[in-house]
Amino acid sequence: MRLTKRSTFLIVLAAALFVPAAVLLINRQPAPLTIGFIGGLTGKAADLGVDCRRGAELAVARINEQGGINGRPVELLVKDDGHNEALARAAVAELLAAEVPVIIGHTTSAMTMATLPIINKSSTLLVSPTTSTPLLSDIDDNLIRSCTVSTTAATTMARYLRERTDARRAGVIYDLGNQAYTEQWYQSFRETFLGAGGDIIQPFSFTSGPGAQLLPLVEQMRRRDFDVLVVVANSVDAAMICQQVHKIDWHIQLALSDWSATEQLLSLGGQSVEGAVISQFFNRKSSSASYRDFKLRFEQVYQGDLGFGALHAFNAVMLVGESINGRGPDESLKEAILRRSTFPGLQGDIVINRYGDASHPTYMGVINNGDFVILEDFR
Amino acid sequence: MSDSKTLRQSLLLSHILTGLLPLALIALFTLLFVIKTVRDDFFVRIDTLSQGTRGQIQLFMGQPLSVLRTIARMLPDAWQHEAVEAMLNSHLRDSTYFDSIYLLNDRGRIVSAGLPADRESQRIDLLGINLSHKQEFTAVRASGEPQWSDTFLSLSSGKTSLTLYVPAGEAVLAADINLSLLAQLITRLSRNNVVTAVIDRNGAIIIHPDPSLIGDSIMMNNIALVSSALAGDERAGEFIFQGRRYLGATSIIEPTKWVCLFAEPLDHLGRRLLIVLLIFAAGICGAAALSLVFSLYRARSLAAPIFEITDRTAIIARGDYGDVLPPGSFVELDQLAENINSMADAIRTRESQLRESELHYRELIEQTSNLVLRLEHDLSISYANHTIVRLTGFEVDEVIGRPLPDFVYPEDLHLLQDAAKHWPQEETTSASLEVRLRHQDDTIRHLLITANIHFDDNHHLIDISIIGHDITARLEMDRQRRELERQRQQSQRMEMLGLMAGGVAHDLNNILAGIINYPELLLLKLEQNDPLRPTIEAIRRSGERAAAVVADLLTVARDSAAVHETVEINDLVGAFAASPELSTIRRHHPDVDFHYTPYPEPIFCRCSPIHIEKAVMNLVINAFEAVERAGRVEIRCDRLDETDTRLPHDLAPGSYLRLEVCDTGKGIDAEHLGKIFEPFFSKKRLGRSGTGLGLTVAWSTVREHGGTIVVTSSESGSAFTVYLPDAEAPAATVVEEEDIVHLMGRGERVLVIDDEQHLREIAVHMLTTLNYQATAVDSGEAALVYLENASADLLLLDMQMAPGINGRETYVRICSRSPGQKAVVVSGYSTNEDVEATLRCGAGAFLKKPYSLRELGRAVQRVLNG
Repeated sequence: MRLTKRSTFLIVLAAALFVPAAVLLINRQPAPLTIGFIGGLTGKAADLGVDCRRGAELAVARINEQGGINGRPVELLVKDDGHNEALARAAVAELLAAEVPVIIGHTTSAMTMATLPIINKSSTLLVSPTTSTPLLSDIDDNLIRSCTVSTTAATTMARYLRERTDARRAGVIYDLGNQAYTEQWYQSFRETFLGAGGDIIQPFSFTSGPGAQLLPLVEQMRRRDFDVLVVVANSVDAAMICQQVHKIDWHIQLALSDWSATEQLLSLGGQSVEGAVISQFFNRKSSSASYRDFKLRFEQVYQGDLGFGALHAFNAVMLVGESINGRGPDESLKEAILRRSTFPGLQGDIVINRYGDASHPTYMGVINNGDFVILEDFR
Repeated sequence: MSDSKTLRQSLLLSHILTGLLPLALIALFTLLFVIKTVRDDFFVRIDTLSQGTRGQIQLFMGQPLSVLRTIARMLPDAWQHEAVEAMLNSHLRDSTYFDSIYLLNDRGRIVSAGLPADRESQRIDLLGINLSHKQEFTAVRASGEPQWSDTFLSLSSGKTSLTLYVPAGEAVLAADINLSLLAQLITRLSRNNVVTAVIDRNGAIIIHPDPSLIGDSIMMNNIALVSSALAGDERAGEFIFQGRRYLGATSIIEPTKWVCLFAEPLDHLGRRLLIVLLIFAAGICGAAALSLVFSLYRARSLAAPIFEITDRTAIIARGDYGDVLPPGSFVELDQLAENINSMADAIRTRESQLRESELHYRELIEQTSNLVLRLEHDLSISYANHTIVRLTGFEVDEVIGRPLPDFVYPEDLHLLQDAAKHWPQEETTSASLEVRLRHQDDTIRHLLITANIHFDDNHHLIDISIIGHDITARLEMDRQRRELERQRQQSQRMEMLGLMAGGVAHDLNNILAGIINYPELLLLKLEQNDPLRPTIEAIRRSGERAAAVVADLLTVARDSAAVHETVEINDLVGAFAASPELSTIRRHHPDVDFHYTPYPEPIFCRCSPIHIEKAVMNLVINAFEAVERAGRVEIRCDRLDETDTRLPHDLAPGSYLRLEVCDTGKGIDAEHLGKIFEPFFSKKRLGRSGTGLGLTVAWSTVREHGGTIVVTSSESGSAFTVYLPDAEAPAATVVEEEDIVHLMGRGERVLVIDDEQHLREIAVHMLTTLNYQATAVDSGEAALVYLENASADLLLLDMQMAPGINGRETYVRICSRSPGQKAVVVSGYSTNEDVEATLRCGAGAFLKKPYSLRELGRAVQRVLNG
């Protein structure tokens, strides 16, 4: 059959229109799935917030490398709560306005307490990597946690002090700026410590901020003749308190909560934190293959040490991704998470109960030569 | 044709190819060159800017170093705590470079601090803390050279900070640098879409116009340009950051090993290139527009005369040759116009010739009496001449488009369809066929078709040209000719038969006259109880029966029956049913039942009873002989009114008697059904049925009586239905044999004229018996002689006499001399022209030979008395 010039022209024109259209169609990316992230990215708690954000970023990168969620690439919409309730509520409102199905955050319990009522009124789920206050335990709300509650670490610390150091008189100093966490931590510690035979326990508090003076507080505690000084604060404040103890030559056993267990503590605390026992939400020396891969990747990308916030944020994003992928028809994300309940974490399974509260192992460690060392023989 | 370009398009295209395309190519290459040059220049420029920025940053960072070194030199003179603190506070608060200044003793403890007024409350906490674990402190102590720390979260402000360590004797001055000033500097350098960023040794952004990037500690070590710089390799190149493409250059800031990144979004460069591109595009478009206008102008000026020629040729194509193309503006076109004019003249001449030829041809086609058709491959008619109107009754435009089979007589459809099927298969190019067409008035037309079949190269049927010759009249003439021939042959045969039969009958009648008349004369002389009387009676009846056979022969020969009388048919058939002849027939067919059903009322017919009885007998004999074994023969009589639909159509109007002779034989073949009434036609065993004249006699007799015979036959038997005209019942008469005494003459003179001697003797004997004076002569001439001298009261004149004059001539001559001469005419034939003529001349009666004594007596008495 001989093609006429007109037919040839039409065929070329159709091909010219069709081929780019086909290429665009084939290469067309499905609409991305946006996941919110909120945490303290500035301020004294920023080391934890940035750490969490970096863990979440690596998880998103991992998901996208594996083909996304239900074939859709994932985007992380990051907001800074500045560890400030007003800023936190405004940032959450922005994320809800963006209609994200899930928010990874907050990185402190206080901020979660401030914004959860807003989130509970929406269909968005808050999956927190580091909100460990027991005040939100056993509540059927829109909060899912990938870390265990702080009371576990507090009781572990109390048992350790009683069993391994025979401390009987304990002074506890905690930050009222994150009261939801610190006070619950203190209460759990107190009950366990006294229950385990401790004699006296005395609380002291401060509010983290530019005007806070820690030396007078430390000197006041020194006069109480404690066996152990327990610090429940962020890494910067905890390091500063340890520096005050060291400065006045108060040779007392220091015990630090899991909140302050970041690299910043070592960098700022120096010699003053040497020998301090500290609760750990993860094992920095774990031999788990997935953990080691993650740690290596983290160090390559961010040129720094991995913190517990990054690990739990990674776990949080991954469990969200797996739950959306495995979600049944007409099933909400929360229902999918609770139905599955057990997720593989970087350091063992994360088990989530029907209220969305997680449990995983916690560790006791000690700062030795500027490094966190896990006390493997104590659980 | 539609794929061809117009001249204007072609000229336009050539102009575009020769003018515009090179222009476009030159523009393209120039543009590519410009793009490359701009890009290279851009890299040079941005690299220069990066180097300049790096210098600005290093210059900036040299300022706090210089201040701290100055303080360090002043410290030994003011080692007192209060003095040092005052000096540090003074420098801090007078300078914009520092967030805080610490004096660390040789063990790394903060022994003094310069703080801004709003952070004075922190002094109590800061003094005394130990920073000996900082590697920069150790390095300063070891090297005596200033050290810059990594960025870190400030203990005092909570902001990302940088600490500069400067040796101060055994002590060390550490100052947190206010990076906001550097950020302001960077922001100033980042105007006009140029982005400047400072990246620390880990790859994190520490200074950027967008503070959020600093707060989020965004990493850039995954960008090849940055990672190379962190590894000590400054370079320029393209990179993507947060989804946007940049062209940038890096430079390393020596004191801190930071990386200064100077970058500009690619789209910014693209916008500049776009301006160049737009200028080029505008130039090209302008050139293209000019070229297009020029091309259009040239194309129009070139195409206009050609269009005119085209229009003129279109006019010529429509048949208008009158206009002559004018000369154009180009020599070639003038020549073309002249040639077209010549061509138009030639076409006009040829067209005229062609039209004339076509007219002749059309007249020939249209006026021919033959049918001319053209059929398409599906046998639909695409052309028909006017003959179709005569043949089908349809107008020409009514048949166009319709298939020819619509007009073909249904029984001939297969002929046409078979032919149309076989022609392509056998590649027949010419064929003849005879088919019938059906006219609208249901008449049939016979056509002899000559078809010329045309095929294409693939042997597919294209069309068929048909010439059909109407042979209907010819066929009708043939049929009539054959019928006439048949009738002529039949007539000849019957004439010959008649001649033969007539001759034989005449002789037989003469012979039979003796056999009939002499016993009659003998009987007159015998007593009633004479034992010879039965024998003589039998001789006389045999003679009469023989005379009847002769009458049959005459009937067949001349289609002439005997004298008619009114007869009651029930009685006639009943007499036959009881006759010895039927008994004889039944004896020959013992397994055949016979049944006669008379009509319940008397029915009459004006006929010759002897002939009718003979006809019935012949039909019955035929029926019995048709039943080969057991069966049945039945006769039924009936009467049909003239309105009865069962009457055959070829009968004259009137009521008829119906006499039906049925048998249960095997029937008659359709092939022979039409011949059974022909003389001597017989399918029966030879010798069985006699002369072969039985059915012929029956047919002739019935036709002679104005009736007909209808034969129906099937495998279950045949039925011969005789229709005879109905007659009124006669007046009641008693027919009794007349006493001979009443027929006796009174001695009148009778002259017998007959050429047969024994007939003369019998006639004289009978006349004498009847008391007449009879004299006989043997010819007409003799009679004329006799009458010259004598007279006769009555002549008994035979019609056929030879040699000499016949009876008619004789009577005419006698009457010429003796007008009113009474005469009785006799003849061996029933009647003929001579008899009729003689009777018209005055003869009083006619007697058919042989005649009886009583018939002679009655005729002579009636003529003499009348």
